[in-house]
Amino acid sequence: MKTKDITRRHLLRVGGLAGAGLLTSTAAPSFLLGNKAFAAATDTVSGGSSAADRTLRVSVDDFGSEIFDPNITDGKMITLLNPMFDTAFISDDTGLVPGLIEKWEMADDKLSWIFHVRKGVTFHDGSALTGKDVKYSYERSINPEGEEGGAWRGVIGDKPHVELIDDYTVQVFTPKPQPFLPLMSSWDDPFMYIVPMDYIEKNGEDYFKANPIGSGPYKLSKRAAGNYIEYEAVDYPHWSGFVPDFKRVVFYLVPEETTRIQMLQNNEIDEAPLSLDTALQVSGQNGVTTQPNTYAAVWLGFIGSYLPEAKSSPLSNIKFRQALSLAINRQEIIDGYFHGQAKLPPPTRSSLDHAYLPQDIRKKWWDWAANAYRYDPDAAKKLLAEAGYNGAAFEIWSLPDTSAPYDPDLVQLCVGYWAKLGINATTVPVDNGVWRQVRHTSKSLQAVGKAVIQASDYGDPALPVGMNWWTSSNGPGNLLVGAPQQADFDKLYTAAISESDIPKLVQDVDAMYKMSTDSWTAIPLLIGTSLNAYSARVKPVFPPDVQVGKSEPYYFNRWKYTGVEPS
Amino acid sequence: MIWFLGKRVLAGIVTLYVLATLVFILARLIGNPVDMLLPPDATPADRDLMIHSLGLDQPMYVQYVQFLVSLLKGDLGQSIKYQAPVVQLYFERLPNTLSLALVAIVVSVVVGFSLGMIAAVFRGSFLDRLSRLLSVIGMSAPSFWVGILLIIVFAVHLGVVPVARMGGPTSYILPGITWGLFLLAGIARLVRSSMIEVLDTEYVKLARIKGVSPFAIVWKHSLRNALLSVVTFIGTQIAFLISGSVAVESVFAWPGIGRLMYDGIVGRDYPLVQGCLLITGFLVIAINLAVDVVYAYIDPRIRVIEGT
Repeated sequence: MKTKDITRRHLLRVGGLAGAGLLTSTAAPSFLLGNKAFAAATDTVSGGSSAADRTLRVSVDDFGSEIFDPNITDGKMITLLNPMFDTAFISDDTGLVPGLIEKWEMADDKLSWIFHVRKGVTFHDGSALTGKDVKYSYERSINPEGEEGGAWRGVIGDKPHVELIDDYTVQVFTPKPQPFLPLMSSWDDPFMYIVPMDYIEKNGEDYFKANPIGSGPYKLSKRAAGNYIEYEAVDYPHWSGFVPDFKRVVFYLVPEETTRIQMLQNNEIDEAPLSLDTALQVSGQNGVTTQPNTYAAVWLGFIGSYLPEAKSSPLSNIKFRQALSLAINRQEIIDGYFHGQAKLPPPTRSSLDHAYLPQDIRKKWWDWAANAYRYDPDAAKKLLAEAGYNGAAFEIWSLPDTSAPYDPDLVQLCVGYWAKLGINATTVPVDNGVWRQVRHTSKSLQAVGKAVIQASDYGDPALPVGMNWWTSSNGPGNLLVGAPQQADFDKLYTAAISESDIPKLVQDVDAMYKMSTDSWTAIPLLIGTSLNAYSARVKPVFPPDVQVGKSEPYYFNRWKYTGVEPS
Repeated sequence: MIWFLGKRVLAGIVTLYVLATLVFILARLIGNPVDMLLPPDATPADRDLMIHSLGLDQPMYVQYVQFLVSLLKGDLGQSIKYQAPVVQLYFERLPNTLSLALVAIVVSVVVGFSLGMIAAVFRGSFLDRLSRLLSVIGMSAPSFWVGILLIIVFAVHLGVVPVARMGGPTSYILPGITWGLFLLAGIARLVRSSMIEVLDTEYVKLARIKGVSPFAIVWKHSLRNALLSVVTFIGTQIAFLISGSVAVESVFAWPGIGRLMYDGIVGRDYPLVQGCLLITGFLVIAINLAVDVVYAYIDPRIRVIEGT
């Protein structure tokens, strides 16, 4: 009987209304009712006469894991956590400078470091930062879920031994001498953010992830997953003396470059990572300026060249590999493709320019690089003839790399240079997921006998660590695998990473450089760069010109207000 | 009715089971997440440790049984990338997608109906041809391109709406139009063809002969009869809208389900991919089930036929 009363039309109406109601109710918090978080993030006041009402709007292309715990997050997020956390040490181009750790010394037996913690530093909840937080942070750093956990286990062991000598003195023990421990604990891989022990233990790990606090000059004020992260400057003088020009810093997730450009031109953001050509196109429009944001050493690696499986590839021949390098006109690429913004390559994939290395060894190898990586097609032809590989062919794998988005273009440019010598290189685009599964020759031989383009962080905090690509255990690409000199290189590497005697270290580094460069298993192409574009409101104070060996600075220090508000 | 209902619920459960199995298998075909998650210089020991901690060292059938048991408990697992429950991540983003979908539906229904009706009433005229042209463009133009074009015109040059990002009401306009354009084109074409069919029927001709006003013929006698197929079409499209749009959400920096799922695929985060697919699948199946039940309730013929 009831079915007669309720018609299909009635139900459609009711259904329609219910559906609209459902959609409206779910959308309401943000759309109709005006979610405070959304409104705050959207309607942020960009201008203002003082830092108190000024907001800096930074767009980024990826938030990574969006985990706000530095010991279990990923590389992308580590950068975004920088305004909120302080690292144990600060490094600049002169070496280490006093930071949270004011003084430090290595024990006589070289198996521990004693750190003296700065007094008067507080976390964002007002509690004091003391030695126990430093101890806790080192102990926590080996977390297997964290991107840097493995690196820290290699430095301080699987079961870290850290002792609290007094409230502000900590002793960190290492299984082997670790002369670079303070340098590694600065702002670079593997970084060391100091986290609040009592806060985490009292509230739990999950609470800390959701409500993180640090001792940095900014504290987390709001966030919306996949949308934005907002920091607000602390309302007390920061121990570093840093005085922010912007009260708030908001990171917006804008994955598409085209969208970032339009937002920048529309004065909706102040900073945008852009590809080189795009950045140069928008530079000057409406006061937009550009600055390099990253430098990466780009190099070609030849995987497993010494293995028997590589014999059929011309890349197994050392003269052929050297000829490939001589065929490339690097200066032409720098001037033409990079509009002069890139630099000639370092001697090998990692930089020599570290404050602890004497100038003469740096100069020696940079001079060597200038000559070895010259453009000399005649010499290349001669080497090819000697090697008997005129007209040879091989595969070069092109990988996407967010830190070096120009890599695929560089591959094409190299292929063009090689074609002039009759070498037929076929470009094979390879997904990062595939590369990571086959890059290690102990797991797969698919990459053996192939060339692959790579980009490395420029300026490893501890140089010897950057040489691990030639070692048998750590090197993902195993550049010397199967080579007669592999065992000798392994010994040198093991000695160098524990060497605190500088003259001896110089000797080891020199020998490692010679072995790696003589093998021609890695050909540095250049030091490439990507640009950040800035609105007229912002003047980036760093990097004015990233110097070789200079570690990344504190992110929060980067922006200065220009006093100009674009129309 | 109970027999009919039981049969449909059972079919829904079987569909979910098949979907879960397919999702489990397909998610593992996108590659090993460990290689994506570890840094390039990770040691083999780090790799083994992560494989163990993620349970990937278990035989596939063990992983499958564990997956089904967890599913029955309503536990869709933890995202590898975000290290948070998948259900939490999904429902954090769902309102963002639904609110945008609402705008897209409103835009597409209002404009689509208008275009379709105008085209049908003025069949063969310039307006009809223009409406058909717009429909073809709506169906064929990629969302990515349309989105960028709208941004350049309305945000950059005219400055009437923001370029991108989820924020106040104005931020919904461009992504809503971009997303709704495809649906709009479909509705316009369907309304046009349905209306033309209805306008050619005998009872409409009779109404005309009797001197009923053109307005009444269109609105009262024709449109309502042309509505059913259009409403069914919109219903099926809503299911697709729930799963979000990667293109629109990427162009407009919108934190919705589409981008969440895309991030999961790119990062080999298969618990996340599995979870998103399963929840979306569950929602679609549940909506279809509810519609079937309602139809059967309204029309006894359906449950009689299904029951036999």
